[in-house]
Amino acid sequence: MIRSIKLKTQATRLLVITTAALGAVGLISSSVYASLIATASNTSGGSITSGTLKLTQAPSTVVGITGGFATAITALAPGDTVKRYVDLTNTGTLDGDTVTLESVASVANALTTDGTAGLQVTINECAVAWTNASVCTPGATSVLAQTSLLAFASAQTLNLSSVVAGAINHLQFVITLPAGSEVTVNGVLPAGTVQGLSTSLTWTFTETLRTNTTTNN
Amino acid sequence: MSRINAPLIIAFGLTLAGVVSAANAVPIATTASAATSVSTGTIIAYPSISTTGANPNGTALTLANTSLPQYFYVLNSGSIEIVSVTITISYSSTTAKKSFLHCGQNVLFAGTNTCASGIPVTVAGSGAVTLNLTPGSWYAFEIDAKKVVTPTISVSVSSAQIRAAINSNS
Repeated sequence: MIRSIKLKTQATRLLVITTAALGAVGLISSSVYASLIATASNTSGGSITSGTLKLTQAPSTVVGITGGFATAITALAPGDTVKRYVDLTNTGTLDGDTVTLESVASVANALTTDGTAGLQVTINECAVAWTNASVCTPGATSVLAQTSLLAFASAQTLNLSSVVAGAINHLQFVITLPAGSEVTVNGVLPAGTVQGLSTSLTWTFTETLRTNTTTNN
Repeated sequence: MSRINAPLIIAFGLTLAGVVSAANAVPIATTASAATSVSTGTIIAYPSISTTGANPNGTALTLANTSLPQYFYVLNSGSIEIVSVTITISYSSTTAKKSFLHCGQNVLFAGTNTCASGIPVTVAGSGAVTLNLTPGSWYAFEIDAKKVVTPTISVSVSSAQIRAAINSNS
């Protein structure tokens, strides 16, 4: 009984001592760290700005070819071609990387779903504005070879001459309805015809940012 | 032990996925155009017994069984100019005279072999006939088979028989 009481007393003492020691260490270390904090600040510079990535499109401003995308294409016959002129501009401060183009049709029909008989689109570029006679004096470059409108349901990569900030791409859209071989017999149009159809197309350009940079200066 | 670690592992995994997702959010710029309205025309020609006849919707025209001169018309009710049509005429007699005549655009026959204006053009027989069939216009034809026959007339137009392709620039 007496031995048991002694053991409890010793254990209690040990606990008290340990607690006190830990408290002391905490106080000491805390006061030591507080006294060792040092700061340094720059007194000039340090300005940070972020760039912008912007893309705009507008009809050509050359008289005679200002139709752009907003002007309707009507009564197209097999074999007909319509050319439209659009200026695509990187109006941001950052260079772009890849530019793609998609087209969404308000109504799906043979014009947009038939990859062979439906509408075909070719895109060319001129380093300067196209003339209203469809002439590119320095010589046109191909941005996209003839592609069916059907394919524009997915983004098509454009081969633009420049995508740096401020670059203006003078684009010529060549929209063609293939001649095909449709035959109307006694007033009846052939099955799956591209005749007598209509839809509205919305063209969306998308530009990605140039490769991120890491500078060291 | 496992009860404590499982949620921690899941939370860590979700955090990591969020970091990866944020890293993939490449900045892009887009610009969408105004809608381009596109419509196509129609190439529709058919034979009719009158200059205002309705579209037969595929049915060939059968004329009367007679030895007298008979007349029919080819109409363009489409929206695209047609420059030739293919006319196929079958007769109930193989010895019937196969040639036939037509007048100019929107010109009626005034009598046998006589146009109200201008001179009739002779067509040797079934086949392509060159016309200037603008939308809404018609041509009159005369068949004088010299025998009692029942001509049946079928008219077809292919996309190669329309006006020259237009290459517009706007």
